[in-house]
Amino acid sequence: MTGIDALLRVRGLTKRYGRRTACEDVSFEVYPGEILGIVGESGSGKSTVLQCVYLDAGADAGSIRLAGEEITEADVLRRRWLRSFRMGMVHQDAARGLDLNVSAGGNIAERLLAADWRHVGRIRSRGTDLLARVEVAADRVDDLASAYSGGMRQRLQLAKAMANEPPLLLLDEPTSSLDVHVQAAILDLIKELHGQTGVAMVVVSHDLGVIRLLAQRTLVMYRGRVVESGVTEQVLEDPQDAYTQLLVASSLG
Amino acid sequence: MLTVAGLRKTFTLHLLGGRQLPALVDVSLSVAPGELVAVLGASGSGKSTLLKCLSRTYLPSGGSARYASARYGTVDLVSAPDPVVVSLRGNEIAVVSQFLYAVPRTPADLVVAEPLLRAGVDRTAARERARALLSRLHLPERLHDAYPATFSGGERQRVNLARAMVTTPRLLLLDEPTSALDPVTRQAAKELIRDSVAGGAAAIGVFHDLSTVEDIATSALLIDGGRAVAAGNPEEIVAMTQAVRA
Repeated sequence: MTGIDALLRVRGLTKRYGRRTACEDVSFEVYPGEILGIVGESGSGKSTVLQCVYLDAGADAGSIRLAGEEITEADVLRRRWLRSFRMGMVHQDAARGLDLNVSAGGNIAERLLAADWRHVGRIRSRGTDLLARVEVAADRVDDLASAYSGGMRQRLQLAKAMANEPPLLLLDEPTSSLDVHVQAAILDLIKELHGQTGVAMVVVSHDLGVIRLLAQRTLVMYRGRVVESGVTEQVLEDPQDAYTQLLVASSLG
Repeated sequence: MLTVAGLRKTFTLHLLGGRQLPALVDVSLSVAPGELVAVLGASGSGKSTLLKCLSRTYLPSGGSARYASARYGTVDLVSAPDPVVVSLRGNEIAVVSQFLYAVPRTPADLVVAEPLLRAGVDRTAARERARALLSRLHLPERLHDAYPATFSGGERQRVNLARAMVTTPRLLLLDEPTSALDPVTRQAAKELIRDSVAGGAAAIGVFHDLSTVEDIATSALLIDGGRAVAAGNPEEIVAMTQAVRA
């Protein structure tokens, strides 16, 4: 857009699993500080897109530029660095983002150690600060992540993802496996963190309510392709594509 | 500030076999700083559709809407890239719709202060400005820190209007901003809108009561069947609509 460089620019992203195409020719940008929503039903390819950006899955074709750097060919070391300093991920299943057999503080320390933090006292106080930001009490820092409830695990994932203050957070169905009232608290926290830090986010969800609450712009995916994109309000009030019209008409809220 | 030419909007209903519903056929208008154009017309004539096309809540089908942005220069709101629209909606163009989407679990004063916070205003100052504006619109103080989801239609409307006005917008799009207000509060809302326009904002508004049009509009536009059929001073156009109804 007019004079502002995209933080993330995805072009023609395609990923296949065997003969099945998970996503095809997906292109979009994320600008600094914005929240982009990706909505679609299960199997639409929306999580695959996120996994490719996070380099958890290798793209079969296409380009992913993050802060000006082509990252699809990043080697192991570079990937680790990117995942610390350029982007963080919050998985739907916390077990993918956390080591459940390690304490909350330990989970965060791992990210700080990867960033060459060496002073134990400082690591500890930074960990406590990060957990305070996601509203986890200091007396829970030494508890094992496995002893955390679902909502607390998502908080811990957020703290870990933000440990080195990357400019981009990727959130894959961050509240889908939570009880309704816990969902609300986590969504509020995500909004709050966005307001405080201005970190850009890509939020993947099948829930239009989540998208409406968080995202300024939205992509709609169906069968591996982007079928529509627009200002979130427009996508919800005046959907252009046949599938989006069905999706909006079928939504409860 | 805004020049709309030949604006069109046709809805395509894919769930009904691709049925086409023309809502705006041909609307042109222009509005300068210090002007408030009232849009009049029967229900279903396309008044709200016009406003929603200008705010890109609806995607227009054709025509142009050239807006003089402080940040981006001349921008055609019909075809502007989405991020530009998001930025304009956040910083320059305020939309007051009839129905507020009540952000869950956010107290009224924070809903109003949010655009200020995004603009970097300090939290205490932003909240104070929000509360002052809510008081000006006669929202009782005991509701300032309550959740708008629990509010009446009129209370929500006040929150909605205050949120739109808190950042001194350049372009106001008002879709029945006072329909649920009692006479005293409506007067306060009218004064707030009039002050904003007098301060240099350009505004386009749909108002359900014709006295508001006569009180605060600087010109008026009559829409029928998605077409602009007459334009003139508010008294003339109001008289025309009354003649049609009689």
